[in-house]
Amino acid sequence: MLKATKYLLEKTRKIQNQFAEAFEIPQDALLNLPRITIIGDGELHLENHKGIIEYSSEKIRVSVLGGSLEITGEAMVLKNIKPDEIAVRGTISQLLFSK
Amino acid sequence: MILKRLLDYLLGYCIIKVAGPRKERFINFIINEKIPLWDIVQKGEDELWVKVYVSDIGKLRHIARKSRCSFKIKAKRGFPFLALRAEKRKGLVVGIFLFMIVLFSLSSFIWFVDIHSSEPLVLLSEETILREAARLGLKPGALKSRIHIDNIEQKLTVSLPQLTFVGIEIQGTLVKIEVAEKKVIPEEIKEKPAHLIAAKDGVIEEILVLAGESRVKVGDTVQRGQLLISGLAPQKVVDRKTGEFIEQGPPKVLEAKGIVRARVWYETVSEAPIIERGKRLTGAKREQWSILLGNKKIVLKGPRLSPYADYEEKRQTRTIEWRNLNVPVEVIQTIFYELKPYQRNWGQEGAIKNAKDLALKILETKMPKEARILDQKVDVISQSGNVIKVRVWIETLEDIGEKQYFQPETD
Repeated sequence: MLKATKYLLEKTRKIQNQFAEAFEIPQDALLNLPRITIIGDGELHLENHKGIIEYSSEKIRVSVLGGSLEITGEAMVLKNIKPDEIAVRGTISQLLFSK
Repeated sequence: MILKRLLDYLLGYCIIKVAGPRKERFINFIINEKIPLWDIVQKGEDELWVKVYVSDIGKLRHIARKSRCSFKIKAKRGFPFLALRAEKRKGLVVGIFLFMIVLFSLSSFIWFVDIHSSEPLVLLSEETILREAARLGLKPGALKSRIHIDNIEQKLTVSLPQLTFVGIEIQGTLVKIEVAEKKVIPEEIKEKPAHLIAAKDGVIEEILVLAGESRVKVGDTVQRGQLLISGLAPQKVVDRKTGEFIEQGPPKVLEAKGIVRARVWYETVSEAPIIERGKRLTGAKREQWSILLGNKKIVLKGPRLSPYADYEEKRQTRTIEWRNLNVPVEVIQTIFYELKPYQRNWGQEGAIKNAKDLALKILETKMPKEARILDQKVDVISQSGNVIKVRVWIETLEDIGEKQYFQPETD
């Protein structure tokens, strides 16, 4: 049962993906994928997040579609948090996606 | 961003300290509840400082219980808290309001009245204008709202007829009255006894006596300085028996006035060449810029010397001045204009005409503007080589009267 749902989910995602490609619609808009904007190494905006998993001034982990995003750096502050957007300020050194 | 800060300040916000092992959960819950929060900072080992609006604090308690976290209000910032504090210090607030009220009320009065005039006042003194303005209500201590500028302006011009213009301007607590006095026309010069005498030799053509007694007739030849109209007019009375005018009593002393037109002759001799030689500008020019350093001249631009054999030069010097400092450097602009000799043959006729024109020009400076030329004659006197000499004679009709003031004999 679980396998079947997972299969279906993947299938729909694939179709959505093809649809987005066919009509040249940005994928983040259609698929709820995270969109990350980084300005230098001092500011990061993350749209379409699914919640914070971990926060400290050296490491921030944010849940995104299909896994999590790990931001490593120094003296990082969550400048602003909205239901779909996070703004991080500080010195960013690394971004890491994990399933 | 500043706008948001301002909004935060006006709404009032708290810095809360979140502690507990599941702080992230607490924050996620807050986000899901759509409660705005910002500036999340990690402080110490196990603490988060978060900013939230005051109005949302109540909702947080429920969330904290759900996420098994504890939070504490660390600091309160913004206007609502300031207002709360002000309530405790009523005196201060009352003082601020009192100050404002006093400031406002004092600024609604007039404290100074100034009078301005572009020219110094002659007919009126400033005090009189100020007194008159005060009488109309425009004085220090008057309420600004009671003053109708147009009304006072109009009334001031009526009550002070020496003024042609009154402009009132209120600048805060200062009132500026701009005035312009009527121009005083100097009193007419009293009639001074005078004769009218001839300024030039001539033959009288017409006489029009406005005041005085004429001493010449039409057709008379007069000489320069001759009396034309006397300022001593005998008083005449009609004799009843004979019906004739007879003189009676001492003559009346007055300023003789009248128009005495006479024919006047002018004569002059002038000459002009048949073949005219001279130098003329060709239109070509060269510019030279140089600077004068002490006694040394340095050419910056253009030719060092005049490029033309025959030339006329125009010089313009400019000293460099900076504020009060006079730099001993002069910038000189020199323009050389080329000259070329020319020759023109006027012929005999042309030369005579030129000489005549020249003579007329000379004569014109001698005669009054309103003189009318009646006749003119040109005689060629001599022709020696290239030069023709002519005598020009003209006859004009003009007013030859001239005033001569005299001291009347006193009895």
